[in-house]
Amino acid sequence: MFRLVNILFLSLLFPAILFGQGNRVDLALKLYQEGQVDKAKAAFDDLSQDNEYKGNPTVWFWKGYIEKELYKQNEKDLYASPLRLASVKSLYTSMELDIKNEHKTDAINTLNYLSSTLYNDVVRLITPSNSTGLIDDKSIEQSIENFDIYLDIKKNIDPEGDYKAQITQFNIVIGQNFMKKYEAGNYENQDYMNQAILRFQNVLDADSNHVKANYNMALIYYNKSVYMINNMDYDRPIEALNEIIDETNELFKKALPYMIRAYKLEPKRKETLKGLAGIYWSLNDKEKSELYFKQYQEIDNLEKQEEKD
Amino acid sequence: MGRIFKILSFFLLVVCFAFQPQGGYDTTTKIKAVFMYNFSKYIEWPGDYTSGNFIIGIYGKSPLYDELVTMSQRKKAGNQDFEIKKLNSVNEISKCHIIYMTPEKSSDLDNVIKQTKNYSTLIVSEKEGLAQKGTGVNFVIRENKQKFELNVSNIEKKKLKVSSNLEALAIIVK
Repeated sequence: MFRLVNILFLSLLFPAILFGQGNRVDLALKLYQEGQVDKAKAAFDDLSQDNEYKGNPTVWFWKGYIEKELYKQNEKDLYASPLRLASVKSLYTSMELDIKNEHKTDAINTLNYLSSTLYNDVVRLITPSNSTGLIDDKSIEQSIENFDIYLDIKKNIDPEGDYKAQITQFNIVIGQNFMKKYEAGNYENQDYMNQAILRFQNVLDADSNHVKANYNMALIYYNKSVYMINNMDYDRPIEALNEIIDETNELFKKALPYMIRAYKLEPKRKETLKGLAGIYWSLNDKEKSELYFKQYQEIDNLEKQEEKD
Repeated sequence: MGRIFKILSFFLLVVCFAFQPQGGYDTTTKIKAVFMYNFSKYIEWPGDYTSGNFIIGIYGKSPLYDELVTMSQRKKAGNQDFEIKKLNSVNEISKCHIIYMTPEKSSDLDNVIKQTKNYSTLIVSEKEGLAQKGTGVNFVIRENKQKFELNVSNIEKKKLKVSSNLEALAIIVK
């Protein structure tokens, strides 16, 4: 059925196909119409390199369209599909050359389809598939790559579109994944910490009042510092003791402004109150720590009471 | 060319406040416990204190007790096992290597000094000014950081010797 629709579609665009005449473009299309998709691809690849045809938007559109079809057939389960990427590039070229907008709508539809597949792959890649809830490095890397391509397509199709919310959500998810991996690896892989900070900072650069980004940023520094102290070796040379106190103190100080901002934005959130109490306690400001811990307890008691009622 | 593609969503993956502050939040206790362990290493007790258990008494209610009990299961003071004792009153104080007084028990300092006058006991306190009033070590906060004051003269009166390494870390008071 799908094949029939394609043939009709092609025939409407290129009547020459039906009558077996025309130039090399028509001949290449005829191959596709006959189901010789690989040969059709090779023909369009050749045309796209040919000086006579490489400025022709029709060549690039069909090259991209066929690459998309081959992606569907052969590389649908490949997150880093070379055919999908090639298709996107071909369709971009087609749109650039297509001054008369002959293929614009179809190119956009095809690109929209490809962007959907990229987006879905991003979701699959960052959905934990094991009990640890940890995503492997390769998957995170691939998801970032795919998201960037997805975004690029969207921006190409609609340069005026607002993608802030999507970018923010993506950065938060990726940042949290790096954070999880950093914690799971006992805070040793500094690169994970830097990656998480980079993602949350990206969010904060766009919106300094983003609660989750502020809270997560505070937590990276706070949890690392707590871990360092809790795992401090008793036999650590005494001369190094003040160094670790200084280092952890700096981390608590770095965490504080982010946690304060998260608190100001949502003063009733228990996690933030607990975090603030913890930071102030670790900074030896018992008075402030108790103040926030009291607020935390009040909300906690209220919630428990509500559950009972 | 119709698009029949179900778009998944990673918005669902963003678990609001997925992370929690690290369990508990008493980082200061661990730091004090590490200091206490180092006092046992860098202060020398007279010969008759170098056999049997190395006793640390905790006078008053403090999370330091639990932390030191945990430490005592893994560490030794030289060849001596650690013994961590809870002390509820001054009368319970007997021969100890170290006595830690909680800030709440600071007003009992004179009685603690009297009770330990015949022992080589290092008195560790945690209130501003107590190192000048008779304790050997006093935990203080400086620039939001845990520090300790050392009154060498009070320590030497107890026939204890302080290592220069420990002195270098301390705030020396007289």
